[in-house]
Amino acid sequence: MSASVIHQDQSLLSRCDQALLWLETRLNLTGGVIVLFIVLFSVINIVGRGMFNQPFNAYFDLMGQSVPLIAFMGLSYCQRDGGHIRMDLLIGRVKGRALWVIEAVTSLLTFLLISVLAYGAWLHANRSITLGDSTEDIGLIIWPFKLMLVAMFIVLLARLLIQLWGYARLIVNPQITPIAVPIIEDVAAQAEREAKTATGQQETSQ
Amino acid sequence: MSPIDVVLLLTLALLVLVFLGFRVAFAAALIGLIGLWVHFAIFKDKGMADGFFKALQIAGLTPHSKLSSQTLGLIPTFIVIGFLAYYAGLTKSLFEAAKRWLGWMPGGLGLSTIFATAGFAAVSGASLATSAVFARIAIPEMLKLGYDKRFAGGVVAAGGTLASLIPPSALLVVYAIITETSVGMLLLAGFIPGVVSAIIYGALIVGMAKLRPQLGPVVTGFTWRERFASLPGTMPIFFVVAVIIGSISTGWATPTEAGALGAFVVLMVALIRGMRMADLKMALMEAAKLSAMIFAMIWGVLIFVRYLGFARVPSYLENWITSLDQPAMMVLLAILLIYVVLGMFMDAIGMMILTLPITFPVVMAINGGEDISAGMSAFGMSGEHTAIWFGILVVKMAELCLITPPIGLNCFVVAGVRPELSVQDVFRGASPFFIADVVTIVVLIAFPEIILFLPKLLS
Repeated sequence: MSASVIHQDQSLLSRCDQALLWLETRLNLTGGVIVLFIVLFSVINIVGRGMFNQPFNAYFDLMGQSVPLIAFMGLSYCQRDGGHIRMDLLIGRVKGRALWVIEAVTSLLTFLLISVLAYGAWLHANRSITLGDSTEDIGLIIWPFKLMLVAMFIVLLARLLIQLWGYARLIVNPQITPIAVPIIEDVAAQAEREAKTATGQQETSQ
Repeated sequence: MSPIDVVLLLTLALLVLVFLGFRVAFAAALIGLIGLWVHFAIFKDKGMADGFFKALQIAGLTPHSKLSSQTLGLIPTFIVIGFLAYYAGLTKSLFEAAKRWLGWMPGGLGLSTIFATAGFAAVSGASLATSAVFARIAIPEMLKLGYDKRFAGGVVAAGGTLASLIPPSALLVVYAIITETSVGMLLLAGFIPGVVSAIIYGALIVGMAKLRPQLGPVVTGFTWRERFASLPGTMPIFFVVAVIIGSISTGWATPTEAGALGAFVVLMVALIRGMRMADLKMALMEAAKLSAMIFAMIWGVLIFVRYLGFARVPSYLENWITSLDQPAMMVLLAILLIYVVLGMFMDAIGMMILTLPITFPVVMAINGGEDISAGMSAFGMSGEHTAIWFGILVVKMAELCLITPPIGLNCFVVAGVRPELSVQDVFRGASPFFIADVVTIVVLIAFPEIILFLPKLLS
């Protein structure tokens, strides 16, 4: 998977997009670092258990709580790139204002959904704070992890707002350059980009 | 309106949303949330406001509660192996080794490409990227030796599809999560069918080259010394596959630990072979983004699955399917046919995640239920084994869609890399492999032991 085409300029919308992208990039990279942490921590656990008969008590608890972090740290970054899977067959054929209306409606519905989920996740986190929820093995407090999900939902809401703004101006005037919204590519263009990314990586490595 | 009528209506709405281009993860979560609301408001008599509050409570806790599992850590480790594999320089080593060992056979370079792509695809788990990389490495060599260009393109496009069965396979882990099947058993089960698929592809290439020698001449002249000298560069691949199968079968490490160990080895090889910090950062960024995308689909669909559970859909499906009184095999074939059609228009993982909440309970029901013994079942295997068997069949179907028109992405990727090949050329070249895949699926249906041999042996 690689980045899709997103135009930028000096407008306020584009600057908002770039500012949020700054945050999203760092959050996504944090997700990647947690993946690396899982890899290294697992290897240390195997070595500790196999060679010294000393497994980490914290292993299962920390691993369990790492997964939701990985799942949510890159959520908004992926949305910005248009990376969440969808079926392009129909929408890929729609052009002009009709396309932007469909995009705006789906973004608005997603915004409403995520707002509800963020509130539901907050209730879940709040219950943990009240009850003092913790993990079984080492008593790791869970509410910060649950609260992190709420924060990531809020970042996604900000991204959806920017995209809604981007689509709204395109509905008003479909002739202008799309800013801060991912542009649908046809299958051939996607494949070409995928090919370039893969072979580009190959070139850098060899 | 009964609860099941509402389920049907909402499932239809979900399909419409997906067809309109709504992101699959969010469409599933939205419909799941609405379903929960309707269920509690109307069928549990809580009223609209209380029903909505109950629905948002359930939907809100699902992402964290369902994802807080050590087993799910397997997905990002498998994904990061894929991204690091590029930098470990495994592709050229594999192709060179395969060429030296298999080049002397009819269609030798094609055969080498299939086994090299199978090896790399297994570790990278990324079909598209595998096809892209090998289109660049293998096709020029094949064309230089006078290979038919359609044949060369088809071999590379088809070879890339072998990513999903041989461990490590993220698709199998996703299947395991959605259907609550044992991850370890599924990963073990995928190994032999993956190898069988590669062998059937290989046999097809040899057969085609024997019938029409102009498709691809042999490559000779390598000494045994040169052959053995090519092996060390391929060792990380064998190590990753062996460590995952070995650890699961012996129980010395959990699947997640095994996946992490595999990723660690590939990381070390990549670092030794000169991967820079910027490359590592890029690999981690891409791995995190892909993980977020897959996990979003998982938690989105799990909200929908929760609704289906509250609406008692699995038991309804069980009653309905047994009342149809159709042969079990007929129902299974109809489901697989639906996957062929869906695969022509949908991404493999999206298709799987979206359909499994419905198709999996149906298959379990026609077999006689989850707790059925082999002797009493329709397919002649226990519920647990049916879940594994069906998982491998579904993943194989998902592979198939990568080389079927109109959006068989592997074919587009190969044509994108090689300007001398049109998309039509690659689709034509890949068509014999589509037939080979159908043969493989028939073989896997007729002889489930190919899938179940390792899980039975090592459980």
